[in-house]
Parts: sequence; C-alpha cells; structure tokens
Amino acid sequence: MGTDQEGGERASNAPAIRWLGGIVAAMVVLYALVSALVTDDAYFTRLGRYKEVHFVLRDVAALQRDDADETPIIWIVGNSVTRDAFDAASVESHLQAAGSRFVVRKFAFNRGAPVFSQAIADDLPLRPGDRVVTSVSEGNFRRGWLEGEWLQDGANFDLYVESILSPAELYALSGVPWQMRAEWSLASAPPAEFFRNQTNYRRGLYRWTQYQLGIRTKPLQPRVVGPYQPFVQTDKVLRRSRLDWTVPKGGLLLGEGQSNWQGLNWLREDCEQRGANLTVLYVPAHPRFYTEFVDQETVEQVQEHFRSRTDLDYRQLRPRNAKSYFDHRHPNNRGRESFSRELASLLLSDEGLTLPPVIDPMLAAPGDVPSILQKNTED
Amino acid sequence: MLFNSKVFVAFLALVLSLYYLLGREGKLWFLLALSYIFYGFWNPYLCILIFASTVVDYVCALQIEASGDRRRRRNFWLGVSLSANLGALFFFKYTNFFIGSFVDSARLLGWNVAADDFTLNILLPVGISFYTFQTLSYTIEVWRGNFKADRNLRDFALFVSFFPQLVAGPVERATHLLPQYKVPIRLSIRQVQEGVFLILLGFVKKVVIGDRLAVAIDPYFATEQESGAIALMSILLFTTNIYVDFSAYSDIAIGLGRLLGYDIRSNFNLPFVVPSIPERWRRWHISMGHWFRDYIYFPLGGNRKGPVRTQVNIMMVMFLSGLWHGASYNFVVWGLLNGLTMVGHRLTLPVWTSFQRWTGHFAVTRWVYYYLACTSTMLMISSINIFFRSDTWPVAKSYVNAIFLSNPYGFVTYIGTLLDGTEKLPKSYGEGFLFMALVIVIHEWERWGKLKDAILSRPVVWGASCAAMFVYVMLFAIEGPEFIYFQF
Repeated sequence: MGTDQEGGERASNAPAIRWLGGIVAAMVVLYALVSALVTDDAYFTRLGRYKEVHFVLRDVAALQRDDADETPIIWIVGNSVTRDAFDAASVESHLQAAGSRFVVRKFAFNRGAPVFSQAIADDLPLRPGDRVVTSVSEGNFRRGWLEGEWLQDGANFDLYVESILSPAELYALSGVPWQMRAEWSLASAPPAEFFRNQTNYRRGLYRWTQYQLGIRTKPLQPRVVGPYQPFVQTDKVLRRSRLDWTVPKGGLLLGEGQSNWQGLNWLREDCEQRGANLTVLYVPAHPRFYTEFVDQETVEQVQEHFRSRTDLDYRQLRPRNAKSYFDHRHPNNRGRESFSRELASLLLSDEGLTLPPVIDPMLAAPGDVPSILQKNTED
Repeated sequence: MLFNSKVFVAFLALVLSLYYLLGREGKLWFLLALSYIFYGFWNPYLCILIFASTVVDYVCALQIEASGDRRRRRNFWLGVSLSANLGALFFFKYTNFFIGSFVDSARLLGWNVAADDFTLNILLPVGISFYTFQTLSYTIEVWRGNFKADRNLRDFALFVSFFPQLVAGPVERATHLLPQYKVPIRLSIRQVQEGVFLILLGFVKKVVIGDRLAVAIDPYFATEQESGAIALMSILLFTTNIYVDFSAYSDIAIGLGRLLGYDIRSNFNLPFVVPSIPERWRRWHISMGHWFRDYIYFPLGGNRKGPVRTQVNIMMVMFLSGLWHGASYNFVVWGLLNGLTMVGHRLTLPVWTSFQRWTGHFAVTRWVYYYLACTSTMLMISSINIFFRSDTWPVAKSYVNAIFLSNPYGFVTYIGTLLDGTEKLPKSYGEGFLFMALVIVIHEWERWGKLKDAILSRPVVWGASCAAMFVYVMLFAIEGPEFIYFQF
C-alpha cells in the first residue's frame, strides 16, 4: 500500500517537479549568461575598480615598454608605507642630478606586503639591469594577520580573492573559522571570474549610472598622503594603531610557508630570472611606534631575520622625527621627500655615485632613535 | 548556515536534486539529516542541544498523554518540559544579563564587585528562542488535550528542527506542521511558482535592500549621536531594514517549505504601513504574536477580567516579548514602550474612532487621515526602535536626546535643516530612502492591488519577475550581516 501511495505521490507531483526542474534549468542558463558578462575586462568591471589596488594592477597590466628604449627603470612596488614614503619623481630627479641613467616608477597601494608586491612585479615589464624596490615591516609578519584574522569581517575579502588565492589557499587560512573558509572556497569555484568581479561590476554599473545622471564627473584616484599632514595622536589613531600594530598578537610567523614569505621568495626568483635586482627596505616608523606598540625583541627578531638572509639585499633607512609622519607608521609628504632623498642616495651608492651632502632636518635626533634601530643605522 | 551564503545555495542544490527522488519515508529522513547539517554548520555541538530538547519534549508529551486524567502527573511532566526548555533558554540567553543586573545592584549598594568576576563565557545557540517556543507549544497543547502526542521520534525531531524555519521562524505549531508529515506531499505547479517567487523575493529583500540599509546605518549606531536629523533618518531606515530583513527570512522559509511540499505559517501581513500600533502587532511576527496570545495573554485572563487587568496583561505580554528578543535593558524598555503605546491607543480609542468617522465622509479626507495615522505610527515605531537597535544604553540615550530633547520642534526642524543644507545626510542615506520609498510603494500596491496574486496568476509576468529578481540578486547582492533575528 505504501508503494501504491508513493507511486501516487510521484505521479501527482510529477508535473510540478518537472516545472521546478525547468525553472532550475532556466536559472542555470540565466546564471551562465549573466556571469559571462561579469569578466575581468568587462566595461563595468573596469569602471568599478576604484580601490587603489585595482588601479595599480590595471595600470601595471597596461604598461608598454619601448624595445628601443634602453633606459633602466627602478620599480618601487609595495604597500601603503612604500606608497607614502617615496615620491618617484623626487627619487628620479636626485638620481639624474647625480648622473644616474635610471628612471623611477612607483606602483603601491593601501594593502600589501610582499605577497601583493609580487603580484604587481609579476606584471612589470622587467628587463636585465632594472631594480625592484619594496619594503617590509613587522606588521606584515604578525601571526594573526597572516592567518587571515583580519578577513573575518569579510570587508577585504574581494581584494584578497582578486589578488591571489585559490580555493585551497583560502581554505588553508587557519585563523578564520571553517564555515567562513568553506564559504570563501565556493567563491573561487566556477565561474570564479564572476565572484571575483561582481563587486567591481556592480560599482561600475552604479558609477556609469551616476555619470549618465551627472552626479559623478571623475573617477576616484589612488590616494597618496599630502599636502603636509602633521603627526596627530588622537584617540582614534591610537586605537587603530593598537589594533593594527600591537605585536605580538599571537607572535610572528617568520618561517617559510606563510604567504608573505612565499611572496618575497617569488619576487626574488622573478627578479633573478629576468635579470633585475631586488632591494628590500625597512622604512622606520615614528619613534613612538617602538615604545608603545611593538616590543624591542620583536623588531630585533625581524631585523635579524632579514639581515641573515644572504639571498636578499636588505637595507634599513634611518628614522625620522615626528614632523615626517602623519600617523605611527606612515610618512607625510615632508617625510616622503626626506625618505626619497635617502633612497636615491642609497641607490646611487650602488652605482658608485653620490649626492652632495646636506643636513636633513627631518632625521630623528640621535637620542630619539630607538635603541634597536641605532645598531642598524650605524651599520 | 545562512540563507544568504554560497554554501546554502550549494546545500539547496543538493536538497532539490535528491529530495524528489526519494519515497515518503526517505524524504522525511533526508529532511531530518539536512536540518541537523544546516543547524550544525554554525557549531556541531548545537545539534546535541536541539536533540536533547527534542527528546525531553517527546518523552514529556508521551508521559502527559499516558497520565490520562491524573492531573498531578500531567502537571509534573509539563513542569519537566517547561523547566528543561525554559531552563536551557534562561541559562544560555539570560544568565549573564541577570549576573550583570546583580552586579549593578551590588554596586549601587556600595559593594565593590566586578562584572567580569561573575560573567560566564556562554555562546548563545542560534535560534534557541524560536525552537524552544515551538516545542513548548507542542507539550502545552498535548497537556491541554488539544493534540495527541506524536509517537514517531523522527517526525517530532523534524518538527523541531525543520531547517527552513528553524532559526528565525515562523514559530510553527504542532497542530499545523506535524500532521503534514503523516501524509504524502502534494506539490502543485502553483506551489512551485509561489515557492520560487517567495525565495527570490526574500533574497532581493535581504541581500539587495536590507543589507544595504544595514551597512548604511551601522556606523551611526556604533557611537553616540548628536545630530537630530541623522538620528531621525537612521531610525526610519532601521525600521525599514528590520522589516525587509525579518520578512525576507520568513519569505525564504515559506518559499522553501512550498518547494518541499509543506505549508509553513505566514508570519507577516503587510505590517510596515499601518495606522496604529495594535494593528502593527497584529500583522508583525504573527506566529510569535499568536504564541504570546495563546500561552501568556489568554492564561492571564486576556480582556475578560476588566479594563485595568486587560491593560496590565498587555503590558506583561509586551514586557515578556521585549525580554524574549534579548537579554538587555534596551529590549525590556523597547517592550514596555510598545506596551504603553498599545495601552495608550486602547484608552484613546474613542477619539480615533470619532476622527475616523468624521473623516470617513469623503474619500480624500479618509485617505488623508489614514496615511497621516500611518505616518505617525511609523514615526512612533521608529522612535521605539531606538531601543531595539542601539547596542548600548548611552547610544540609545543619545538618540533620544538628539531627536526629542535637544529640539522641541524636532521632526519639522530636522527636515528644515536638511532642506536648507545646514545638515547633510550621508550619501548612503539617499540610496536608503530610495529603497524605503520602493518598499512602501510595493507594500501599498500589495495591500490595495494584491500584487503578488496578480503576478502569480500570470505565468509570463511571474516568469519575468522571477528572472528580473534573479538577475538583480546576482548583480546587486552585497556581502552583508546575518539576519537580524538570528541573534534571538
């Protein structure tokens, strides 16, 4: 009887189930059609890329280098500290004033560290004789950061997916709950291009509509700090600094296998293969950073770690005074000018050239230089 | 598992591809397994809790029935069920609230105690308030003799854990859902159409409208608010947000139920634009409103014990409703304010009836009166919602100050300051108000024009609407927070 009942149930429900099957099939077709529109190069996707990283990656991908032009290039790539610490035009003018042939190009954005720098460098038209300059800091090697804890609110997820990760890599982010990792892994399933670009495409559609309505007249541009922003230590800045920088938060991950380390290795190998030189910089933070947010041992650990790597050309710049920063980690435009000169000087010394000596008023007074940096500065 | 997640879409694809291939028994086992997977996705240990709650009520109901006319024995087993369910709810949801209250009181008396010394590290199980009330209604109905205890543990477990409505309702009744498990499902084309339509509508409400509103207003509830204009606009947008968010969940739940062949109770009946607070409560979260009516209000005497007792009963129900929502003073105040407005409306009912009669002679005056009443109700609900949305007491206080105390002519002045440019609203609020206007237009279209029926009765219109909603969700969905009512 049960079988009769079930047979009856199946027979009476069959038309509705067929309908449902038809609807699902129609949805799959619609899904395929819509997702085919949302590609990396779709007009709206391009229009919607407004975060600095999108601009930078897009600009780098569009770079053309004249085969006949043999001028070597110094490529400054990296994160927000790199972006704010160096002015490409300033570095270039110092270099050329001292007789160097190098020109300087900078591609940096507000998130980073080696793993993103590598993504940029990968697309650079590098040639033998070029030099890639990037920077690292303690914060890039915090365990919590590397294990993806910062991704838990999902706010930076599109950036992360767009930049590097495969489903396996996403699922390996041990600092994120497994439910979230499962969700994100699905975002890398086909059509991954749709998931990767949906946010930008949507923004592009909005932006296009705004253009049509006359609400928006120009696209956003990558932000660089300046004009002069004084160093302020409001509660908000302090809170953010504590949140962002307090180390150790579960300690550091300096060993191999973590993404930034891997990114740095890829970057080095990439430069080697294409005959370019790689210079890794440490841009010192504001002196208060070393007394309030990070312990000496951690800084020392990072410094020792990089200096012990014989495969890397690791240099440390000199600390500046408070007038050179707008928060604990980021130089303002005066600091940028000062750091740019020091970078030019450092690059020139490799060519056997020098800049005329000047007294830099932005340098930190010797008494203010944190002891951990003194040793390196003296070196 | 969140409805608005890729994992759920994959889960649903699995469900739909296998479910209809199974026989009746297989379907029920399959649904039970899926429901536990769905719930366990938050935290696998939660399955133990819901299973324990299921077994307790299953046994208690059987014992109540076996007790026959032995009243003390019946009461004993009802007591076991109430203690176990309310005990678990109290422990998980209210322990820290009462500890905090105790610490506050102790401090007032001059004792030097720190809340951290007593606060327990308890994680609130998702949906516990919903399924606890659902299982309680079952044992109470068996105790009252209105429903026979179910001897099939699988069916009862599925009643408790049925995944479409498990974590945020509608709160089902055993009399409605359990009998549906005993007969073969009957699936019609109309059911499928309605199910697909409701699911897509729910997704549009949640991921396109609700999440945008949530993202827009969140920063303005994170800190204390000084601007009356922004505070007012924020609470109006929050009222829209909570409506679309909560009704979206119910739409998806009911739609999923339809596709699986089950009828899930309705939870909303156009509650957004209503002319009075009691009317709103009759139309809002209906399944929970009926629960409070049947198991709290009526046992307290309802309106049968005189006018004073009626008002007290209303206040009691609204107080408990506030406490049900969350373990904090904000929700208690929210519940009490709702109670006060309901009592106030009842006491002034003759005035409103007279107004209605006077204005009812002409269509224009009738409509004007109706929508003025709706507007004032909306403002009242939004004002009370300050206590629902604010995470902390100081934030709630700052909103009350900004809207009501800093300027005696509040509402009018705020609109003036916005129009003359003295105050500027955040950009995201412009989009928010467009969505609010859209919600109101569709809401009223449904009320006066039965929009949903009109769409469902025309296959082409239905198909075009579903396709439009599908594409809209694909392109315009944003990553948003989980459903608001998950926290309860």
